[in-house]
Amino acid sequence: MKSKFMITCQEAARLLSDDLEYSLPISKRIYLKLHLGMCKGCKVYGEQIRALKKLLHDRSDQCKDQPLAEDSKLSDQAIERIKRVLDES
Amino acid sequence: MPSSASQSSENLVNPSQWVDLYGNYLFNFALGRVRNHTEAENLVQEAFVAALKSMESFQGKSSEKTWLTGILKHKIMDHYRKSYREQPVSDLQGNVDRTNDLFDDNQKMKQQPGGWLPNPKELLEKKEFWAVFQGCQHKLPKAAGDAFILKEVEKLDSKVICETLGITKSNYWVLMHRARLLLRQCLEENWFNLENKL
Repeated sequence: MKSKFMITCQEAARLLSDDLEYSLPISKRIYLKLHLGMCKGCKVYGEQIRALKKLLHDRSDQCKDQPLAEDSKLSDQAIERIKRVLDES
Repeated sequence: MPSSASQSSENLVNPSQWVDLYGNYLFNFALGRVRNHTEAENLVQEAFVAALKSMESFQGKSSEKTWLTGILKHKIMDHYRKSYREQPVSDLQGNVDRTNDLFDDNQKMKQQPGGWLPNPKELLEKKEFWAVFQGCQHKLPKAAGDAFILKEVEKLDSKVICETLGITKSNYWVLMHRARLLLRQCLEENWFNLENKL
């Protein structure tokens, strides 16, 4: 029988994400803490999504606006077309 | 004797060189936001045209590249607004939510997370990691991926993100949750689990 205070891992994952977005209300905070105390998987999940958030922020600080990947190139046709449009503008 | 007071913006910008100097950079930037090559090309073109028209407003306080990037960002945001007006986010109710596949009947995660944590010192400089990251980002459901990038990379306020995507705060939280679930899973499978085998 599910106790009122037991949340599932799916619910915990959602709360862990919400925790990165706003201040959880006390009741949800308690449910989450109880669950994390008993569920290593969710505890690790929470640490990982928090760390990924921080990693992206560190990256933004270090190389703002740097594309994540830079090996794509405009096609020759696109380059020609854009140059033509600029000449005509 | 040339007067510094009369230095016009024409001395600061070189439109004839823009495509060669910045084309690929801007293209890659746009690809990080719109995934589709044709859309990205069009956005780069729109940005160049807009820049040409507003050359006088360029004061040289930032570099040409930064200025052009700013214009491209505006075009990208306009593009988002238009595309989400035309095709509103549809799968918010979770009927086609891929994240349900990650949980079993007891709502427990099918695959327990491996014991890894991203190491910024190691990863920030690693191009291979960011290529994998972008691959994972591109596999996210469209709205979830867009919301996530606008928040975590572009660092926009959630209110602005909601207005742009035409969604409520509540929808936004659902999308961020989905993005995190799927992105973490993808990175685990395609990077962190493989590291030990290299």
